[in-house]
Amino acid sequence: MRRWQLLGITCAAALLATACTGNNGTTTVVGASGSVNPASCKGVTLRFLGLAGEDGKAVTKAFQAKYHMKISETNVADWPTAISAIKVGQPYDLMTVPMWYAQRMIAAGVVRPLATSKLTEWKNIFPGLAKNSLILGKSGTVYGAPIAWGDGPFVYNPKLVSSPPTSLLELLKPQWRKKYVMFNSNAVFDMLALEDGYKNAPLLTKAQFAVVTKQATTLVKNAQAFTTSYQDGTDRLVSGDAAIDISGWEAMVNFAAAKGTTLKYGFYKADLSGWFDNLGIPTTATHADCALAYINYILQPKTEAALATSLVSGTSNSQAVSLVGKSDQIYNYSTVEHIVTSQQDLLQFPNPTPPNTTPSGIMNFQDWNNAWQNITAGR
Amino acid sequence: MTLAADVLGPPAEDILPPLRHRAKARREHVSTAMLLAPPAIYFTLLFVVPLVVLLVYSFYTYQNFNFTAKLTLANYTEALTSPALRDFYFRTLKIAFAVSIIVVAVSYAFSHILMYVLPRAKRILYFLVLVSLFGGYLVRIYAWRTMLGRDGVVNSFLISTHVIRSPLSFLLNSNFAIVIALLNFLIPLGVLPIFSAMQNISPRLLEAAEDLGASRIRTVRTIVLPLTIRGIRAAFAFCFIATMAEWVTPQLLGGPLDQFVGNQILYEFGETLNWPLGAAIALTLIASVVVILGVLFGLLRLVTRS
Repeated sequence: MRRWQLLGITCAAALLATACTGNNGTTTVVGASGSVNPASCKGVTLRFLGLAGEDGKAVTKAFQAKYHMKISETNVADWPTAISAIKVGQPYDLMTVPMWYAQRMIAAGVVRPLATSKLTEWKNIFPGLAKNSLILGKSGTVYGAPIAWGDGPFVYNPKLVSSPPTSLLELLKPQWRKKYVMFNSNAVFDMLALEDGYKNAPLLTKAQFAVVTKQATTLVKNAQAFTTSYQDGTDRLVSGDAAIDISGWEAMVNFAAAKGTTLKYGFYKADLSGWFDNLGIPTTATHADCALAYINYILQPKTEAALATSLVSGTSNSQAVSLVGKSDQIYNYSTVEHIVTSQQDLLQFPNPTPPNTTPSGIMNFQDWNNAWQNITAGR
Repeated sequence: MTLAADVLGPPAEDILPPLRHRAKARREHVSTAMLLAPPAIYFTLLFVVPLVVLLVYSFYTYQNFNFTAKLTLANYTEALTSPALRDFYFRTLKIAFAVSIIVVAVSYAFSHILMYVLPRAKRILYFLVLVSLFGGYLVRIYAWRTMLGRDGVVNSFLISTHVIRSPLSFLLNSNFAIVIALLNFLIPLGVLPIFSAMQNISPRLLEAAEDLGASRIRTVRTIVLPLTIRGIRAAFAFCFIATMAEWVTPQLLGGPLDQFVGNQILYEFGETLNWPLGAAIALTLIASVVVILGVLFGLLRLVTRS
């Protein structure tokens, strides 16, 4: 009898814990009326979760000093970890919302909508970023404030690669076997689809998807390993275990330089991909007003330019372009200048995966997952 | 009866024994409960509760990157019938068996050498085994990456000694690398229970066997092995469970087609946010490990009895 009582208590506790950890997601718009309230930051420690440097800690010292506030940062190597932390109820006030995972984060109730009307620089954010469908909820509500963007290069070790590939499809040839590394992500379907000329990628028909899946199977089979982060990719290139990281970041060149190795980056001819990161307010935030005021400060031209420079990225504020450092000048700002239409939106910063629900005859996210699972299972 | 007993009568313990015993028994119960409480709370909070939470999640319904408390068996159906997941299970199982068998064999031989071949050095060697556990697991994985890499210690040595002309590519990002790293991690943990079991064998038994003319091999087969079977069982179970639950080693040392079922659980929890399916795969994995070990140990019991 006692054992059953104990079991009952345990189950009840577990169910209670499940109920508590199941994050329903607060959908209240942060700071819905009036203007941002920086005074709410007085004495606050703003807890940031995301990519190293994207908290802006290094470029917001004046703001921190003025309001006697601090930033505590928790850096993550991968987005699933960040999402899981919020889903189990860990309290954070600010987080990186990368375009790749933005829609998943919105659907999973990980981030709150932002009152962009309160952000004084919102009108100057490049429309290619501010109006991008990836950071918008169903009703058009914005869930992330863009802070940095970039293109999609591959990174290689010039000692091991004399003539870099011009197309991702080139890597399917036997001479590249076991010479490259890649992420364990079904987003590679999208890269291949773009190389194949499927302009509507990631919206692919069954026939198109069959072609892409076959290519992805060979690509994975020929890969040296899956990387866990850009730093991991850099390490593998520096050690000479791999010659190319097929989905890299310019900053990897700097990571490697610090280790005394020269890496280079290049672009596939057909590659139209790019990325942008945003700051969002998690649903577990306890200092949401302060977080919004902080985001507003980050978006100011001077701060934004300093942040972009420190991140070796493009700035999101059109007024900050002339203020950015040399490292930032590698980016082509014409790609984010125009007013975004849905089609252009897909081309410039394509969502690398399709939605869960797609029109008839178009493969959805679950189809992509199943195919990726089959490929990594070696089927 | 002593003089004192004659004068004072029977001692108080004899007059009120039930009362004293009851109080003593109660005190013992309280102290036992107090001693057991910390580990029991620890175990319940950090093992039982999360497991039940996982069980609850595994029946939830996943929809559009989120899940609701609408109960379903679909996740278990997927976990048990998906051909791709089955491949992940078998791949993991294959490596787990290989690693566990090698660990038990090496640990047994090593423990035997410590106990019976180099008894004078056993303390220092046993200490060295324990010291090898001090290194962090991740540090060791990265060390293996450095050693097994294209320009690593192994390839450099083989090239410099003209054994090979170009670096061996199978050393890293392969099942070979995974097995090597797991053996390095698990062998010390396999030695501990086997060595402890061997230490409990009375030297008189071995002397008796020797006096009766048994060879060394026969002594090991008929005396040492049956008496150390619990240690072997513990070592095997520990290695098997640890390998089945692995995901870090395949991720950092394996190739793209060497990922374990643990990596797939991670993928479901992280990439697709399908926690219910991830939970169902995890619980199926736990159940399968329990069943496999149960069957194996049952068979082992039958063999040792016969």
